[in-house]
Amino acid sequence: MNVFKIVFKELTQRKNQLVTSLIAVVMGIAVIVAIRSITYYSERAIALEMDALGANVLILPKGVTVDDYYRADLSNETIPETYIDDVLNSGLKGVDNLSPKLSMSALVNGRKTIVTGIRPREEFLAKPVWEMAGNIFETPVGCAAPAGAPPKNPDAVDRRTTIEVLPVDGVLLGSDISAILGLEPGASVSVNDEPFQVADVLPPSGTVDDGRVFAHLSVVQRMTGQSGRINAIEMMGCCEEISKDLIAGLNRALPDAKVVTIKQIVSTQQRTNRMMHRFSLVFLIIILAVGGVSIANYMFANVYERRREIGILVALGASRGLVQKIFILKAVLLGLVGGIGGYVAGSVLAVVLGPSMAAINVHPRFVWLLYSVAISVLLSLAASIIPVYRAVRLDPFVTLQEV
Amino acid sequence: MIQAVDLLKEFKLGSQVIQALDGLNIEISSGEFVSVAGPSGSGKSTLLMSLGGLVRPTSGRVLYNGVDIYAQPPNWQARFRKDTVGFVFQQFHLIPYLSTWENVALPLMLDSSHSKQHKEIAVGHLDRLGLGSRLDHKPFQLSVGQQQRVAMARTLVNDPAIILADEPTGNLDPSLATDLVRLLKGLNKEGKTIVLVTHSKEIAKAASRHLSLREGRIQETVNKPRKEHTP
Repeated sequence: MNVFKIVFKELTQRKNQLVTSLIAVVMGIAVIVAIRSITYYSERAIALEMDALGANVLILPKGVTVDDYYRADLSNETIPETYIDDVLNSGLKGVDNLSPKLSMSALVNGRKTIVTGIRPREEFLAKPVWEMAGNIFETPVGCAAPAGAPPKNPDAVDRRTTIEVLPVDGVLLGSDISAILGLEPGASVSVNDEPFQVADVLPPSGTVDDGRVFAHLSVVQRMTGQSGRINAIEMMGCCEEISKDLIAGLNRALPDAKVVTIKQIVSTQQRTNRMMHRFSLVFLIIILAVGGVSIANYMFANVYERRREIGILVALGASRGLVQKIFILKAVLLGLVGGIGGYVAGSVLAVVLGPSMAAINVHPRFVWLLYSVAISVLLSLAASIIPVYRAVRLDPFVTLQEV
Repeated sequence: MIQAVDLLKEFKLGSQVIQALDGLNIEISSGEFVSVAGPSGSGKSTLLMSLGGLVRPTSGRVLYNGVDIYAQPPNWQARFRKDTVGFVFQQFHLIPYLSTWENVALPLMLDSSHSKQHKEIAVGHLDRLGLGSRLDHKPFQLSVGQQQRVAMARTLVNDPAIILADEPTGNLDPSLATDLVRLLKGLNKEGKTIVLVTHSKEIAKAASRHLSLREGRIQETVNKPRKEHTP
């Protein structure tokens, strides 16, 4: 038997008190970890979107926000597909590629999934990452490459062909949904009970596209009963023209649509991320206060309840240092459990809520375990300073006289 | 030998100052068995705890083999309590969430050492006191008499030279009290110094010297006449 065992036995003796004080710490740390994890992956997603999107202008229905668009493109509001012709016929310079899409929520092999209708050729041009087989850090085609230019990556030729000749009963699967459903190219798949065949599995892009199924735009329009309607147009505009009067021209040509440039999208998303970051700081302060008070309260109560035991230990020959060590060990254990528990709860929260709240896939980040434990242990130690000081200063004679 | 020299101990209760010991002097030889009696508040427990290094006197000194224990650093005092002194309390003061053997082994692990021998030593003492079959029981699962024996085993586990017993029979029935006194006498015969605080005149008779305390002073000292050894 050693001191650690005594502390462990004592901690587990009154579990209710322990659990109550831990809940505050675990919840606080969990909220911070969840917010920070989602923010981190959201920021990362922006970078990936920037690299992968290729398109730098979005045309959306008036009532749809960029946030809605990034959440899953799902909105009752649509715009006419003829907007594409309106743009092409407007004589605006700098329009390289227009990629319309319509999304719907559907049951794919019984699993609720977003199915996005695309024009395969245009979508392929708008998604450099599909060509680059996941090399998201490669420069997108952008303005420098005219529409219809050959793929840079020779291996992508096959994929380009597959995508461009996507049959009406064919679908493309994002890498995540393909893994989840266990489907390979050539496999049969049911979308809202309608049979399709997997034409190809797209390379991972690190974006919401990984969790989607892509089908012909006309097919999704038929299945949703929204013939000639679309949710959005992703447009590749020439950089120079964007900075001149392309956006103003688009606004004039499409008065009932919302035209957003990537710059706006990024700034919107960054504003959201900054807000989340500030939220996490606020939560950090709250947890420091609530968790600290909770632990201090537990430690005060613990010292009070254990005062006779402290007296016994001192009578048996324990030094003040040993009494101090016992309570510090207790505080460290509380901090460790709180930190690890908070990290696990926060990571689970982020993984579960990330896709639904921010339309991003979140994975647990190990570095946050270190931060969580460090914050929690330091908090626990700081909150225990006064209670431990009191424990050490207790007069064993007085405590032993108490019945 | 343990000595108290001009021992004065005052406790403050708000604005009131209570004098528990009032310039008390006492000298207890090694191997002596001393009983201490007196009315409540006469300073018996304070004297006992002061002798054991647990209550620092307001003034005066406690000398163990000539060393002023309260002039020593705190760690020395802790070692003194651990290695030299064994306390026996009326309330037993067992730790409720530790098993019988863990309670007994408690003084052994205060060095922060981790040794498998702790259990062996504790079990040896419990066996000697007839509690070998109760090793893993918690204190609340034991009878009062068994709890007192566990407390005694804990006191003896470090083989202390001085045993300071504060009304150890106060919660025991007469038969258990007699057993305990017999045990203390046996330990005294083995050479241990015993200071026993008791209200019972019968139990006090077990000691070779009896002190009566009143208002923090020794009122009376009665030395038990030595029995002449007849061949």
